Amino acid sequence: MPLALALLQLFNVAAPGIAELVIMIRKKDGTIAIIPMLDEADKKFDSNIKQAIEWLQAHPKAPTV
Amino acid sequence: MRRAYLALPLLLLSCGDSDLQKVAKGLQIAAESVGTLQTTVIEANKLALLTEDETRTTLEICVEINKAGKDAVAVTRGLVALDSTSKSQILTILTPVIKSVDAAVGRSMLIKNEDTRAKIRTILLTIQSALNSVQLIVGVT
Repeated sequence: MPLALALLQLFNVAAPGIAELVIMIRKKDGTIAIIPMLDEADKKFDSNIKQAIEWLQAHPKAPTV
Repeated sequence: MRRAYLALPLLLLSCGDSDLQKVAKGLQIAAESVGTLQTTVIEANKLALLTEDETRTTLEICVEINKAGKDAVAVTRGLVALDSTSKSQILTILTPVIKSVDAAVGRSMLIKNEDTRAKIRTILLTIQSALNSVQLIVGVT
């Protein structure tokens, strides 16, 4: 119960950024880590795009006659 | 004040939605697998095991998946739990690329070199499976 009260106080203080706070709490208790997973995916998607675009630019489609 | 006490466990319970975790994991697996696919086709092309056209087509699909993946990540990032709006947004983003991946799986049968065909098909099936798992979660409203 004291923990719930403490959390409630935190939520009340941080009302505008409540979603971020919940995510932080969940990361801390080790049960979930959505943001790091999404960060990793996002970075990988970026590097994939870079790699694919580089190859596609270096190998343009031959013009059809 | 009593209302606020009641709201807290409800809020925390709603965060226990592991579907969000599964979506994030699915996107992460898709990102890694697309990276592997790209490197595989580029290397196969260098070794003349894959034509320029086959490589180009696959990489164009990869770009499509990567862009959709980034869009899905952007939608998912701000969520505490999946609601019907975010599910519908993710579904709209992923549906066209899932069709492209399905088509690529079919086309991969035409790759002449057996080892290359097997490698590419395996990776494509992993991507397909990762995207399908996300689709399955967000497809339920």
